[in-house]
Amino acid sequence: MDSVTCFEEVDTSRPGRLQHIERSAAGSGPHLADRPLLLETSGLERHFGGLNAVDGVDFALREGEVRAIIGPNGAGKTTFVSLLCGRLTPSAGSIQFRGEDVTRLPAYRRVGRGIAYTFQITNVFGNLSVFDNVMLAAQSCMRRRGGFFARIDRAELECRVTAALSAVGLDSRAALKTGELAYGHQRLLEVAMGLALEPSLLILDEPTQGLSDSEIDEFCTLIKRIAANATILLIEHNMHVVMQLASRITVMNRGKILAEGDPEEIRCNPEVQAAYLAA
Amino acid sequence: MTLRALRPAGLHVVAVLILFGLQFVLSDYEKLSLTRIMVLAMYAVGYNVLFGYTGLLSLGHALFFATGLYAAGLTTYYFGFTLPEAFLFGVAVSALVSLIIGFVALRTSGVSFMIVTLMFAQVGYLLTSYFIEYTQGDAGLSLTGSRRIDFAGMSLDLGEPAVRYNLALLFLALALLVVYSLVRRPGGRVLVAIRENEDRTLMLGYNSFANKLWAFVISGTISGTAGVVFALLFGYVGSSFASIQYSIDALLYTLLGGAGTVLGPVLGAALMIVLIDKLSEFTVAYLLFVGVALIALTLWFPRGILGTIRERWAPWIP
Repeated sequence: MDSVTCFEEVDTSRPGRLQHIERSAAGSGPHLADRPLLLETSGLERHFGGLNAVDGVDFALREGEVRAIIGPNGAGKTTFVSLLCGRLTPSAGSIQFRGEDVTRLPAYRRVGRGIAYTFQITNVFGNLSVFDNVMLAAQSCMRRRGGFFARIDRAELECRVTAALSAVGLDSRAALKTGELAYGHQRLLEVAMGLALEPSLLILDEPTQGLSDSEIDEFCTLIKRIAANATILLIEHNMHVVMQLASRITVMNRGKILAEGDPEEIRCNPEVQAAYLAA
Repeated sequence: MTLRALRPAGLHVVAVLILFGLQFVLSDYEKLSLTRIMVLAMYAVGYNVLFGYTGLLSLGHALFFATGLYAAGLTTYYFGFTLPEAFLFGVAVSALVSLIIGFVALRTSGVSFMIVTLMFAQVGYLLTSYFIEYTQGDAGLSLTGSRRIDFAGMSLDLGEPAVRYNLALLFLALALLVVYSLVRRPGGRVLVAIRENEDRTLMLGYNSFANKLWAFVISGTISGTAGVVFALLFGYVGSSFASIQYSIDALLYTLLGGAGTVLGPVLGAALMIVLIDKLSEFTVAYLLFVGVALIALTLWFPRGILGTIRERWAPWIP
């Protein structure tokens, strides 16, 4: 429990974090519509040859939301979040993050601005230890201002790593080689790496894919805890998870936004049922 | 601090002390040979920063060795630079050349990177032949002029084997210190991260191009400084040092000793050079045996000697 305290202490050093910490869970606090805009896209497009994977998306996300993006396979969800985090460049349109145009910023700079992405297909450093994986993320967070030769306080670094690992329950496995972790634990490690970056926006791409039911339950508890400190954008197929976590849901189909609303509205939307939920 | 925490640094100190002690037991010929080995080991130590730690396979590192060699050698020969002047000039030119070439070559990756570095090195090699009037090509230049350095009241004569031996050891030890502290720092971990998974490293917020460029410049400058030291200690510069053979040698030393271990290239250089020396006494076909040794290495010890030891018994080796 000590290490969790330490994580929050670290958090408070960043401007704008305190008010998040005071909120206990997503959905509470000021009404969603009153919160400031965190991310906004207008007319966002991405074409692959003749395929319009993302086709004129206008999207807005407010601070403190847990937003789920759902939609059938091939709807353009992963392409859309890849545009947001900078892994892909858009064919047209713009992306604003905290009022700043980040459309042309390379991915690593967007991470510096506070956008973290966890991969759909587990993408960790298999040959390094679990601890080192998270250390790379924590170190990146600590030297955003410092550059290549930044002096990094070793004790604080280790404190942050331990805090992120205990937040996902991997602290007892810190010394293991990552390649030897079970798949579910590697997914949790992805989240720990995202946490250690202390993002203001955490993008999770199908985080529960391949997890067992009990692991999914633990995962939902974890996301609820993280949501107290960060805005979360979640691509998810598991409707149980979506309904449990999301404060709002965006439905994508064929590269466009089909519907948007709170879970109840989406559940009752006939267009959505036709495109996705009907099955 | 516990004894265990001191092991990595201790290993390197012991290695340097052993090299220091060897001069009191070796014959003059062996001492000369080990002096040469230490300079070439330094060259490979620089190569290892790029190949072993950052995962970038350059096939053109002879260019940097030759850049240092010629920058120091030509200025001594034609402009009468003193030894310290030539040294500083050589190091500066090596750093500049690695910065420029790194900037261009790092726009590629994988096989293209190998080809681009190879091509740059070939251009360098051909330049030494093109300007044969000044370089004397393969025949090379013997540096004349003063072989003495006056430093802090001491007068060092580079003609003396003991002076050369200890200077070579000093520079090798400095190179080891630079690499050791680099890889133990947060910046060094980022290089390893790039080697392991560049895409993920980018998504953790690291500018992988800038980090690779740093690695390239550090690597090229250490290898270039080895060239400077070679030219000044042995008083000879020749174009064979710019040939592809020397680029491949750096790769082989590193692979044999263990890529991504600080001491690996030193061990690899020593073993490979001694092996070639001994074999060439018996047969002209010594490269055949070297080839067989390398095939055996790739099959059974793909991580090299120190890499295998680290993997199986001593994970603390940096």
